[in-house]
Amino acid sequence: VTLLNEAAETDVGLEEYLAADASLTSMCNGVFSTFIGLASTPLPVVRFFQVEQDDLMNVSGTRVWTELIYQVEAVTNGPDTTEAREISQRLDELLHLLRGAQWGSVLVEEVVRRAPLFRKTVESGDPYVYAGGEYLFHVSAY
Amino acid sequence: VASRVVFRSRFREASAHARRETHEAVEHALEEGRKRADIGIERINSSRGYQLPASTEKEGTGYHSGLIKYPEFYGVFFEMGFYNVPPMPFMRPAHRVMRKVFKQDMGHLFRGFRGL
Repeated sequence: VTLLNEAAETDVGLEEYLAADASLTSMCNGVFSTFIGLASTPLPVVRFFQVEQDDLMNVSGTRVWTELIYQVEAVTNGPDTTEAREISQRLDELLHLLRGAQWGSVLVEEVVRRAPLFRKTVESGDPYVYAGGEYLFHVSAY
Repeated sequence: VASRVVFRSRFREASAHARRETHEAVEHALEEGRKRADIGIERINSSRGYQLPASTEKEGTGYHSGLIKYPEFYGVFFEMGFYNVPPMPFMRPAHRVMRKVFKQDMGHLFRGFRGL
């Protein structure tokens, strides 16, 4: 039995993976998994959050797969959606059908997009655009 | 020589029973989903000090279909997050619960027919 918090490991791994992509970082000012630093960073930014987590399969106490669902999205100033759409396209290229990546102690078995996300809001008088997707990760302890 | 045998039931009660059981499975899933969404709302309230009403509703859209909805317009902001607030999903976990409950009920009721 491998004792590991797959959710925590994947969180760190995903941030490093996205931040290491030159193409993505040239389009935005940072990749955030928390709100620390986000407010002081000018838009556009990429942020992601764990939405759900579940041990998908246990066999005699051994965890075969852990299923994690992430909301990954670009946040830009609105109302123009061009930047947000470009960044979300790059995010999809990086994540959808990603297989076999090793992030620290976890092996990413497969990533697929479960749903696209897009919304335009006005918050405290300022327009924002959010574009990205809900990604389903199957990971296992490496 | 026939290589397979096809059984075709014309027993009306069988289809009526299947319809009824499916309807009940949908109802059960909706009820569990509604409860799970309200639990999510309560968690948001207790962790952040908000007073969002736990008022998720279920609605039948057909004999074999339905949905749950949060009637307040600001629900989507908490579900998806906004610039200064992270997402605090309560409908998506509820959706997951509904799928599980429905599959569980149907798997039990129609055991042996799974996969057909």
